[in-house]
Amino acid sequence: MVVFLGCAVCGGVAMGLIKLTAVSFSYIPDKPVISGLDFELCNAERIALSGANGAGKSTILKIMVGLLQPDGGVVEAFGRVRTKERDFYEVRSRAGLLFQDADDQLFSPTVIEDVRFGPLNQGLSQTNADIKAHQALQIVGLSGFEDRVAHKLSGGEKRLVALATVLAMEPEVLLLDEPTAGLDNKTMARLVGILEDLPQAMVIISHDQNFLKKLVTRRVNLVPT
Amino acid sequence: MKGVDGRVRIIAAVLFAVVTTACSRLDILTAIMFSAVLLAWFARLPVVETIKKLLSMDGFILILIATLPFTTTGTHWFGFSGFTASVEGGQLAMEIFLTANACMLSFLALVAAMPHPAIASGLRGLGCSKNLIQILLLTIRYIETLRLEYQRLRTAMQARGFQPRNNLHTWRSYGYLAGMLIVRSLDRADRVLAAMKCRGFRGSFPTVAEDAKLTKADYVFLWWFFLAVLFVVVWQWG
Ligand SMILES: Nc1ncnc2c1ncn2[C@@H]1O[C@H](COP(=O)(O)OP(=O)(O)OP(=O)(O)O)[C@@H](O)[C@H]1O
Ligand SMILES: [Mg+2]
Repeated sequence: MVVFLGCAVCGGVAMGLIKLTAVSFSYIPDKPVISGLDFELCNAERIALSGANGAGKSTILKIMVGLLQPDGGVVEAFGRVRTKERDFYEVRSRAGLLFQDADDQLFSPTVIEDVRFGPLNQGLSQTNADIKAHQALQIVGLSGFEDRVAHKLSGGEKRLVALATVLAMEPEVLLLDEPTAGLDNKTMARLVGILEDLPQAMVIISHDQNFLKKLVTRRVNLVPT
Repeated sequence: MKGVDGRVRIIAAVLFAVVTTACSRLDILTAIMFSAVLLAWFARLPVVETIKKLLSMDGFILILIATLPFTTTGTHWFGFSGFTASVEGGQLAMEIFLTANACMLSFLALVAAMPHPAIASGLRGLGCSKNLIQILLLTIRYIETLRLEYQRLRTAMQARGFQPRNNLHTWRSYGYLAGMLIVRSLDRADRVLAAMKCRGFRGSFPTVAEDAKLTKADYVFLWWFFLAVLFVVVWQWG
């Protein structure tokens, strides 16, 4: 898959939060999922990343936070080139990734433990981490869910808790992989409200055009070569 | 009981088990069993669930207890159709039964009733290896997920009319089920690790509870516990 596009907002000047240059990646040797990908996310942008199933959208987000190492090309984040695992520690704290499958993201017994896991890793004290966690749960409208067992929530609730775990770390960038999957209309509308109010730059993967229309400032389409 | 420190409770549980397994007199074991019930009472264990747990363990030792009287030689106790039970065997069976249940009950009351993070910080406070604690915590969390995954796969099979029979198809399907469970678990482990990395995980869990000093309640509990242990030791060996 190839594409792409300089930044309409900053015209490619060095304001990019996340920038991929000529990135290529393959899970299986000689079967590239993406090749020669250029991408840039600038301040206050909300980019819709679209493409067919299997086009490599989720893969791109994972490359951005260093969960997958590209075979070629350069990954820049927050003004620095990132190559090694160590380089990405900081990136992961500043760019929050919402996974496509919430079940992969929630691993603690209770909701509150899961949400404060990130802040604790950022070095916050127990009390401050708790405060952050409560705030995040409040933002997604799940106050009172603190002591619920994470894996016994409904699909939509899991999505929102997963979003809270990301928000609790107060990232500067949100990378959202199908945040609307499994949400009903009402919850979806609420999610739009939540995201509209957030100041962060975002990359949003979604197949829901209605949802995207309300949020995004720019669209990027992955096209097969 | 709720306010007692994790470290204290773990030490108490270990001590309880050591003393109980070393005891052999039935009267003392009965007393110990009573104190285990008392501990369970203090810990406010749910009665029905606890009994269910004990029974599920007793299921394992049932055969042993049922056969011991007949396989141990000694004074005649009772007999039927050629089998004779010995008094010694009966006592041995009773001893095993009491020991197992008392240990289990006290463990449920002292350790298992704690929230998982408290167990973890208790173990950490006692100098247990960080990696082992992590394995324990993740095991607790993921046993349930594994069970759910298993159930999901089973329902998927049943939904398409699968009925276990004694034929190749059945055994092959079970093979797929087991294999799929392993593959999925490995996959999930990868993805969960990725999710944890995204939230700043670098190989060790953040310490949740600050190392608290032992409180007065802890000392009171410890002293009572030691006294009880001492009492039992003197009774048995004194
Ligand atoms: N762990 C993996 N091992 C091998 N191949 C993989 C793996 N993960 C993804 N792929 C393949 O890489 C391609 C891109 O996958 P990716 O998940 O990025 O797609 P996507 O654009 O997010 O699709 P969707 O819209 O369905 O979520 C797919 O063809 C997929 O089969
Ligand atoms: Mg995807």
